[in-house]
Amino acid sequence: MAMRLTEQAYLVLLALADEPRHGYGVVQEVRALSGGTVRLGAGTLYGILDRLVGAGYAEGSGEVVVDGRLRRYYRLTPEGHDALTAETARLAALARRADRLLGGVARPGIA
Amino acid sequence: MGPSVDPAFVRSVGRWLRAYPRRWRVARGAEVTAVLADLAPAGARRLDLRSGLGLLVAGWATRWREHPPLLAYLGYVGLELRLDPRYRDWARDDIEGPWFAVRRWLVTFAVVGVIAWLPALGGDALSFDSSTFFRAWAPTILLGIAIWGGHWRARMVARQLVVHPGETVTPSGRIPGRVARPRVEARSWLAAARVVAVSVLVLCGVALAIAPNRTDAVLDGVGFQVTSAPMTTGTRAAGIGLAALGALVGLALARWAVGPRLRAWRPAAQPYRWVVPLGAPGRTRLAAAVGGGALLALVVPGFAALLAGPVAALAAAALPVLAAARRVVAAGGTGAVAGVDVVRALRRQPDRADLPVDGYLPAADWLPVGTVVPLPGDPAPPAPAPGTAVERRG
Repeated sequence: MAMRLTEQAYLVLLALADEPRHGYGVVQEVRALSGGTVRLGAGTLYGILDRLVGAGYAEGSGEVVVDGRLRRYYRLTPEGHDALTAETARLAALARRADRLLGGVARPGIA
Repeated sequence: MGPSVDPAFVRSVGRWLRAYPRRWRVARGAEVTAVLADLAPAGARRLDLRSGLGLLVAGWATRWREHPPLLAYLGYVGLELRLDPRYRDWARDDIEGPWFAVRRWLVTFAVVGVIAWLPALGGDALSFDSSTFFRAWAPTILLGIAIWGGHWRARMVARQLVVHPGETVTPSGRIPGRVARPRVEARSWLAAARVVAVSVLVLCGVALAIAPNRTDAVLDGVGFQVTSAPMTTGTRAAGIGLAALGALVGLALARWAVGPRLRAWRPAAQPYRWVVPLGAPGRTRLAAAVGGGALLALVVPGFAALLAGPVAALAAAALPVLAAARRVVAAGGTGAVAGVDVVRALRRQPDRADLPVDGYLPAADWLPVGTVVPLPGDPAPPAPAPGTAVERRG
């Protein structure tokens, strides 16, 4: 079941791309990937994770208890990897088109 | 890594997490709490408002996402139609929730109400007799919830949660089978019994204090006649005296009998017993029973006044006994773990092993979650994991 990837969902998928992460790890990675502009709250994060898991893009990959705190890890599935690759290609194509457009247009001045 | 989460912070998060469905909280509550603790400043004892509102919005969004469409929901509520299996998890939350039996009765009441008011369509005057409602319907509804709540729940489990051939097994899926007999755990049982005893004592006190008449029986030459007699000061005092006597007996039992009997309790092996807390459905039924009993006393005040003295004596005797039993159970001074154990121990009856009963097992005990239940004629599924659910629960 395909799902539309919002910017936040895309960043969460991207955070899981290199290694499985637990919830707090995803929040930190998303903040780093977005240059500090996207700060996920727990409610938003788990809403996104629920939808990603429901769409088959991510899955649980085990849990550990550290200092009495439960950490459940999530990882990308092959379908999630494909969706991430496709979305990244779409964004890259969009950025290239935007670059071409901006390259041929002068910055509007103040009349 | 930070230290374990402050219990006050856990409670604060727990309050906000109530926005999520119960099943979701059970599955993810500890994980979300840990993430929130990581995100919170060191030493935080409460969840900040912004994070709490985030949980509130996300929790209700989750509920909305999982809720069946309106028409399917109306069919489920009004006609008990089976929901699409993808809403099975939602149905399980609903069936195991505290309001299931209440809503079930209210729907029945609404249907009866509509039928009763049908004459209004023919131009007759529409009337609502509030006296009839409170005298007849309200106690019936409440006592119906108390008595049949468990039966309705079992029927809906059979209809909504049992997996059919061709459907996918989910954690909420059920299969019929022989299961360990559920017994309410001792502390829950004692707390519920105390609520009943206190409520009964208060009701009897009110009846003795303000009831103008009491039902009486007269034997004459012709036969047995039920009459009404005024409540005199002597009658009221006799009732209160009976209650005081009951309290004294209860105190004596609590002082000399409860502890030794509970400590002497020798439990039998119970391979087919499943000790469960009273839970939300049990509390709903308890509240309905107490409320229904109170309304019934209002409906037949004379009869309530007649029984108030002896019943108050029983309740007054029970309270110290229950308190003493609770102390022994809380201190771990007895092998009684279920309410029925406490009753048997106090009555000095020997323990009896429970037998398996008809019920429902998690379908995941039969087939792994995500597999499709085979259709008739399909190859048999692989053997389940060793040990039946009955054995594991034992």
